[in-house]
Amino acid sequence: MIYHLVTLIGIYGMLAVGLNLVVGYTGLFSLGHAAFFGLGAYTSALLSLAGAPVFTGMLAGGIIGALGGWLVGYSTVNLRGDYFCLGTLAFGEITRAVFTNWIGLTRGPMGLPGIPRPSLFGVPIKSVEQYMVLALIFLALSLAFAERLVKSPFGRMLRSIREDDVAAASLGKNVGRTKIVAVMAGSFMAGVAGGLYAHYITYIDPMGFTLNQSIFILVLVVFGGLGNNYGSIMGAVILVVVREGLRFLGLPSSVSAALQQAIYSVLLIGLMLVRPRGLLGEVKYMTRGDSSRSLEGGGE
Amino acid sequence: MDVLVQLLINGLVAGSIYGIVAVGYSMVYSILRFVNFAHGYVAMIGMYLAYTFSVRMGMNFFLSAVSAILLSCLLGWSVERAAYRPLRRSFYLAPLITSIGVSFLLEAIALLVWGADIRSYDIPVREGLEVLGARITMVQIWIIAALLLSLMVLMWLLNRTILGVAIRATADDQDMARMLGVDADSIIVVVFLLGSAMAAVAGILLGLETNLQPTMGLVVTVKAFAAVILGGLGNIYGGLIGGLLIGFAENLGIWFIPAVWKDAIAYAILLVILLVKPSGLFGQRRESEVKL
Amino acid sequence: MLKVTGLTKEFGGLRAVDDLSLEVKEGTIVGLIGPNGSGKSTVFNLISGFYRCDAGRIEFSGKDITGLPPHVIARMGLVRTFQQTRVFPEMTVFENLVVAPQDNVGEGFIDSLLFPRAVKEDQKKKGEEALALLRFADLYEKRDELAKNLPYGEQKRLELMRAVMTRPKIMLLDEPTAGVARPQVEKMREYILKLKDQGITFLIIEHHMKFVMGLSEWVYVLDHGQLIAQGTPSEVQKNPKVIEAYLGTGRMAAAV
Repeated sequence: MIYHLVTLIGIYGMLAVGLNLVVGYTGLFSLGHAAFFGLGAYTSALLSLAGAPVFTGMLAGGIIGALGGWLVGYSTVNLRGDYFCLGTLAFGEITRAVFTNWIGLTRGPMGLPGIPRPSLFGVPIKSVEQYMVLALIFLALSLAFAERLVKSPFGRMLRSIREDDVAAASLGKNVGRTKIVAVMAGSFMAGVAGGLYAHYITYIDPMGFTLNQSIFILVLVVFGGLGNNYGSIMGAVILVVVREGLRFLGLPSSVSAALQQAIYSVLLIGLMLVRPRGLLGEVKYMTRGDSSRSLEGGGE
Repeated sequence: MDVLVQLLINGLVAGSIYGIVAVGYSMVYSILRFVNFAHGYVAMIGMYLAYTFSVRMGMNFFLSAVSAILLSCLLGWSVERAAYRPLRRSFYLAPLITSIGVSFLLEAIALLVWGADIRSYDIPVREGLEVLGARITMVQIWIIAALLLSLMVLMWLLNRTILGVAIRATADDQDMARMLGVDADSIIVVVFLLGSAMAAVAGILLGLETNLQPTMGLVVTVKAFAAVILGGLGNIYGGLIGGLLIGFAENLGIWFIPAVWKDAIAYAILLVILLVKPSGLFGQRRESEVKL
Repeated sequence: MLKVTGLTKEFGGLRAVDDLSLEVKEGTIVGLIGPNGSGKSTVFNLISGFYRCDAGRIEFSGKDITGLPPHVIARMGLVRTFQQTRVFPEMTVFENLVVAPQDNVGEGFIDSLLFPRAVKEDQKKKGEEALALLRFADLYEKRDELAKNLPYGEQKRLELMRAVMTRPKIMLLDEPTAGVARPQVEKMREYILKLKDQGITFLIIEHHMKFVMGLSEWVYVLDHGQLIAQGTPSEVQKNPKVIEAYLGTGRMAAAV
């Protein structure tokens, strides 16, 4: 059981670290992270069911996820912040509609069973313990990748764009492209995490990639603190444990799902009211409303 | 031909429902400059309250609807008071994050109280009018009448009363309005009350037209928002027209593609508008907004 | 170096800038003055690419830059500051400077991951450059403070120095002394003159008449989006049209 929990934490930690790159460091509010997760999961599952090696599938999942990120980023990144939020939401819902309705490919609501487990250097990864190690390795790699990125001049530029994109552009930073790259990096990680998930559970259906899932990942990031990779992982640890723990209360599944949802929403609201920076948050009060995009005094 | 007319009528009904939510959205947006994600969820709660009163408690449907609308107003007001107002000086993502939290809380409450099963108002379907070979049910006629009525009330409020002038002034320029003695806080309260009332009206009508499900909150939020963007943010009546267009688009869309994609059509429209003309059909591109 | 011809911009039918032509020669300081609302900042937003003009042509270093996006123009060496300062509030003073250079190694996604040594070396160089500039601007002591905690006058200076870090050929300064305390105005003047000696050209919007008249070699006067006068500072000060424009708003008396 504990191995299962840690494996899930590895997967959700990866998702949170990727999303933190987008929301925490670049200041773009995404409501579609589950879509990239799902794209990765389906890509990897379908490829491996068609006979491709599992790790190739996961890589392809990451790439497809990143392509989805490019699509959303390209169409919304130059617009107001809330538009990005809605663009990602719309993308997420369309993706889910595709998972549900393209029955020829995805088997729709029936889902894809029998997704193979990976094998490494000819050794099949069968037990949960082994898979847990794999998930932790992936998480560590993602964390190293994200930390490297945000500590580099690229990460510093991301933060400057989050603080004031007009000023960043005035210095010669290609704001649009940088935002898209950040979104793509985040969705790549989500895509790989999707592959990791699919080959762990060995069964996926569209219900795993809903808006609720996107919100859950968002709560992990906000809870741990925007703009802090370790915070994201901490959020994943605490909330995955809470979520899985709820399953043991013996409530009917419909009630426990709703209860879960209520708990997250209360956490989210409470956190915003009491500690908007999250538990380990970097972002302080950025009062940057509508004025962010307006140059002073329209007329003059 | 009959089917086409039928789809047009369905589109008109659905579109006016989206439109009426969109108007409330626009009002809140033009004053607070934030996307109140929870707006559609208030509509969903209103829808269920009317169900409780009429089906569970056996009240007269009209009375149930009115009580549900009043309670939704109260809900909208308390959400503004408890969750949004304390955040007005917080960092810029905070109100958006909170409104998403509120939305999911409302949906969770609906799931816990009313369950995930599809419900309906148990109103007998009576034969309606025949128009060009298509049937308009009695309920649809009610819906259209109710929509027209609420629109007329709204337009009268905005254009003919001092309150309306104050709302529009605050939307145009909050500082200026404050200098003229308009209390922004009370305008915000009024806008939330008004917006929630209209959301509840739309929710109940949607419940009549289709049926009741907790997921309706999201559906209404997204479609109304797509309507607002299509019409042009900040243009109150633009949202109404945007709503109509989306209603037509998704109903006529199933003339061409399988009906299971119906919901995806609104989202696709949203993405396409964002890509092609983010200022919407009737919105002016705000000159102070720059493309980087 | 910078040549603007026939620049026009309308906002909802109102001409904010009307058929404006001006020229800034290399190595000079040129002033752009005019009463409030005369369209000066709009001119800056047009030149730096933040607004798209309705008509006209903007040439910089002999190249047509009309309609190019802001970051491309900035990369060509035309960098602007803002009327209301826009420092990066949650970053330190030092970070505000080192984020600015356009040739920073490691701002690309790939080299940030793959070439840590080159990044490190480059950052060391940029860091020294930034520290030198901070000493020059008397901000050295505050290098580790968050930019938002600086008083407004120092933010203004920080913004100027941040722009200098990009090694611009020309700088467009939008009211460099607005909100700056009196003793610091003189300092601002010194900084600008020293930077000019280093080869930077300036176009300056200013309300502080004594300041801009003392610095500029040539002054353009804007009123209601139109150019009403140009000349050396002393010529412009005597020009009846200019006096009238300012009298109409009662600004000249206050400003001189």
